[in-house]
Amino acid sequence: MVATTETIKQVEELGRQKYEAGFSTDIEMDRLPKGVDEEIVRMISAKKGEPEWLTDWRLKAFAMWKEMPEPDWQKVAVPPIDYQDIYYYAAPKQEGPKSLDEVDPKILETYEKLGIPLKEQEVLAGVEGAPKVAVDAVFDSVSVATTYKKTLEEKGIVFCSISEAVRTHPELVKKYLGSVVPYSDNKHACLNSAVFTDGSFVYIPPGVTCPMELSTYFRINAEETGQFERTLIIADKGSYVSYLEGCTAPQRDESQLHAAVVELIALDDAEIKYSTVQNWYPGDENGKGGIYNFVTKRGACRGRNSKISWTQVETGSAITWKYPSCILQGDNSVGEFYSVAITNNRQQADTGTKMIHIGKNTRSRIISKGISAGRADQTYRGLVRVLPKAQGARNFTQCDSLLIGATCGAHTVPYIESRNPTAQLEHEATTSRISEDQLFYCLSRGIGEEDAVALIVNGFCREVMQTLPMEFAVEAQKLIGISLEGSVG
Amino acid sequence: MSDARTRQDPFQDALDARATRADAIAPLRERAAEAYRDAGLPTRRVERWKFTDLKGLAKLGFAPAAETPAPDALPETVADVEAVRLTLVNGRVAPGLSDLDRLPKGVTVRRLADVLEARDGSSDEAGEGASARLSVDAGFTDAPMAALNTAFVEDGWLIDIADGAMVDAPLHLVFLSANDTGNDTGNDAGNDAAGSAVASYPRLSLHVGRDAHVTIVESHVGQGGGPTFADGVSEIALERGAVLRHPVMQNEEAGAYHVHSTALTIAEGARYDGFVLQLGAALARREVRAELTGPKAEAHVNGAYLGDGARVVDNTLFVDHAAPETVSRETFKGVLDGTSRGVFQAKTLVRPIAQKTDGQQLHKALLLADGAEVDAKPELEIYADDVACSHGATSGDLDRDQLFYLRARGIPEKRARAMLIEAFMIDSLNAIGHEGAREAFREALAARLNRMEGIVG
Amino acid sequence: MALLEIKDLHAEVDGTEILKGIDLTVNAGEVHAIMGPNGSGKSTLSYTLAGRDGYEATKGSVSYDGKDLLDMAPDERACEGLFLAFQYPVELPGVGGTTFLKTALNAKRRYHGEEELDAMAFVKTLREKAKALGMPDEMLKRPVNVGFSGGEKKRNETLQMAVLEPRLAILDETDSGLDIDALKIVSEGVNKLRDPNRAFVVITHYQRLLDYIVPDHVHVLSRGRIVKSGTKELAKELEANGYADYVDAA
Repeated sequence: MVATTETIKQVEELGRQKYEAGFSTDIEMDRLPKGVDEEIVRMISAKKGEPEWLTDWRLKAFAMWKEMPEPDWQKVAVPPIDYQDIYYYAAPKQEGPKSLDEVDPKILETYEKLGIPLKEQEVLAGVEGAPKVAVDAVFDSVSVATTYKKTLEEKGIVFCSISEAVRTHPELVKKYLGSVVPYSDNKHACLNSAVFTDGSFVYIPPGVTCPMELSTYFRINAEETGQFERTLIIADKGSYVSYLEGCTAPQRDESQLHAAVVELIALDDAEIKYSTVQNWYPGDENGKGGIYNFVTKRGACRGRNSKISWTQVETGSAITWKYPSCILQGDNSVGEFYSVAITNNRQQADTGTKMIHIGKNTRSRIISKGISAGRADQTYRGLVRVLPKAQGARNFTQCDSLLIGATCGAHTVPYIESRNPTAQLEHEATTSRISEDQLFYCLSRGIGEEDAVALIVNGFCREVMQTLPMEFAVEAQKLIGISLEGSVG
Repeated sequence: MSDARTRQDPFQDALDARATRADAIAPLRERAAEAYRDAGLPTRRVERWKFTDLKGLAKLGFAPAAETPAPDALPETVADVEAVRLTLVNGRVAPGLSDLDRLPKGVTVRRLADVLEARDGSSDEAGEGASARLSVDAGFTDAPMAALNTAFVEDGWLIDIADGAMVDAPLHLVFLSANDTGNDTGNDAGNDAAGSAVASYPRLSLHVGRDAHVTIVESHVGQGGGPTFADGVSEIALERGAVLRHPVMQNEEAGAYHVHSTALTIAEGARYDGFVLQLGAALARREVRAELTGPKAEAHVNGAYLGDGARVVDNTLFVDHAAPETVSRETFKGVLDGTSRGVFQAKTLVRPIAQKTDGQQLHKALLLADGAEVDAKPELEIYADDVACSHGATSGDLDRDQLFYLRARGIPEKRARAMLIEAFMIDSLNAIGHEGAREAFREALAARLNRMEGIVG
Repeated sequence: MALLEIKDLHAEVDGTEILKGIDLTVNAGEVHAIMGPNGSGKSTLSYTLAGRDGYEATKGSVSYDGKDLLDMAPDERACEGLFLAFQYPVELPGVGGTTFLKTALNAKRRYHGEEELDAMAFVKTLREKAKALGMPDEMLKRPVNVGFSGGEKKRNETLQMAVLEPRLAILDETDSGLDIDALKIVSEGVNKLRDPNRAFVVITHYQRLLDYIVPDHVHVLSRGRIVKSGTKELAKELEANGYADYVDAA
């Protein structure tokens, strides 16, 4: 008993721990006035030099957003958001760096502090044979740097900011933007469609296996700023790409809104692996400040034998509202969702996935591991839907919750809907805590309590952590340690 | 009143048209009527009714409440169980079909109508005491259907099992929905003019005293072929150490709408052992809400259902663990053929105080035909850390290896499928703690399977 | 007329051709052994003959008692007297062993226009036959094969064969997973059923089973074809030298 109480205390300590990414960077910013109206939407579009169709699309989205109600079905308490008290456009003044040398050194410094290798030579100077990672960094609203462009271009791969893609590959952007997440999808996606400022764009040509991990780091730096990035990834026939996304924000007392949209499209025989480590500022132990992370992520397996795999490690944000989903249209297509979510202190998370089986022999797999501590509340919300034509569809779902301490909550809300008799669906869920037996066993082998908790939690998440690319796994493991313990690396 | 009124809703009209009753629960009825008016007939926009649509019910034309004479005999669909029988016909007590003169020792049965009208010789005070056992919505939240029952209830049973009573002979509550006005063959329920629907509002208030043990079997059946709507409410309290075995069979006619809300409070060390077998009706929704109020209280709510044609079968459960070391078990199995739809919603809430809770949900569905659908939502809401809670759900067709094995032994496909379906369902009936009821339910299920067409999907 | 006549049988599983032209004639009263290494098509042959979904005959013919076997549904084949003893008998949770056998036997009787058996009489015969195989009554009450050991499952298959009295029994790797005592019991059960009107096709990887169920003919199956036929001596030779020669030859 004593042991458990101490563990809880240690976990409580963690909230008081310093959020390691909580510093801010002092650089000159170019901002549009606070608030949003049609004029602001037009100005954002104008600043980006967008074609008329895109401006119109934004305006249509904005008109709809004004009428749309906030989603209210999630199990998180969202304080009313004053949308007119947010800056919708904030960019480092120095626009459009031609090369890394032109990037404001302060920004480079920021990324260095965060341990993100923006400078290619630094990556190369690392361990011999270390895998290369191409990075697109989004600083507040705009993309500041994309690395390894040349290597990628040789393969015909397009990896750039979405603003750039609008200029350089308008036909692809026009064809696919909003085709997976229409602006009418939900209030947050709708706002994003109206005011998105930047994000990453990836196109992998037919038959090409992307030779390195592609990565975007998002950073909210400016005060009272919302971040509305938009990511669009298209894997053409027979191609493969693995994409990594990481997020941080400075520690501020006011909550900040992050409403992103990610759209993935996989054509015949293509595969997209999308991994996220989300470490937005979670607010302090009393729930002051922190990011509202309202994200719409969805992938469409349009082609036969295509595959989309989401892996997420969610440790940050005050409120998370996020359901990376797969629409399995192509016959034999595969959707996967692997998730670790940790909530501590006053954090709230309502997260999960949707797997929509449309094509024949489509398969999906959901592995969700939720860890709740402190006074946090966490919900897994998932939908598996099998439509009448999805002959032979299969789903396996496993969602496990681990509670640490008696003041947190862990909830599971699965929706399982089948309209095809040949479909086989299996859903399992468990809720448990770290048992005294487990803890005692570790202690009796000489393992300290902190280490034991980390060990057990990491074991609990193992199935998901294993799906992360190497580059991310180490960071993610560290984050789990930090979120729950501090000293465990 | 605005939104609710814009939809077609015969019950709003009926509430407007009803005469005021000056009985013991008049104020309660007013509150209930108000609650229904505010909410209106549930639509699929209401999360709790997401999967079950009552539109068809709204389209039924209802006849003004008429006294249906009680039939001489009960239909064959009633569970064949040796028991002391108590019958409600369209929500009113049918003395001729009730064994009121041979109640077992320790069992007190009163007619709700007598209590409401203070006709049973009890003083006003006693009458009020009894009516206090009824509530607006039996403790359900957003429960317009339960409120509707309270607004219209006329009769029912108040049953008390004395402290310490060990009642051997089971009670058998029969709920008969009778309507012979639409008895033209080939006329489906819900089709206008042919027959007006008969609505009934049966009510049960059951109190099982300390350490008492009793078995109460229920049969919900129909007669006459005309469309019916039964909107029932049961309020059941188990005192400390009480044990209630409660097998319930819903075997209504093909044109019936059946909505029933059962609210349970289960005190320390008491055990509720319920089973719900749903075989009939056009649309049936049985909702069970169990509150485990004392340590070591247990709620076992198991069941099985069978859908064919365009039937909708809904089982919605909510278990509230409000004390430590409480146990809940929910295992449901469903078989769906034709264009039927099965709905399983189960929510288990574990409150912070309910440490060492053990809660398990399991739902297994067999889909036999292309048009059939199953929707499951097994939900856990947990605020205590030292708990063992789990849920599972599966859906699929009959196992092809098993089917081939049977056919390789010479058993024709249709028979082989029927055998496997029966095996799948029978297994779950083993959860029924009372042997007589188990056998009766087994027979009813087998008879129903034999009648079921299109088993070959 | 031969009881079973297979001519140039080709069969596919998931679009892959596994049987590539099988010829085999089995007369009433005979016991044929089909031996072959893993992956040679032994189980495909037995499933194709029994009519399992997904095992598709693409070419050739199978005549059984003068009728086109491939044209019949699996249960029709069983009612006509074909019996497959499964390599991996399937578990049937909730289906009692007695009910299962009674249903099967009555299906066959109905098929032949005979009256259904009286329940008492059936149980009596069943018990006798079960006793001979060393199966306790309790095993008959349990759901079919659920929780049975490997040996119990094979004994149960043999019991079903004894009750259903087939004209042609195909034993698919009946020896797999059996210890020597169980093997003896099962073989004895089979031998008791040997009869001038009944034929057996015994499919096995090892010669061991053939010490107990002595075949009249032995065939070697390799890569979807019968590559050699002979007497029981051929089985002994295979035991000594292995399949290597035949695998290469095919």
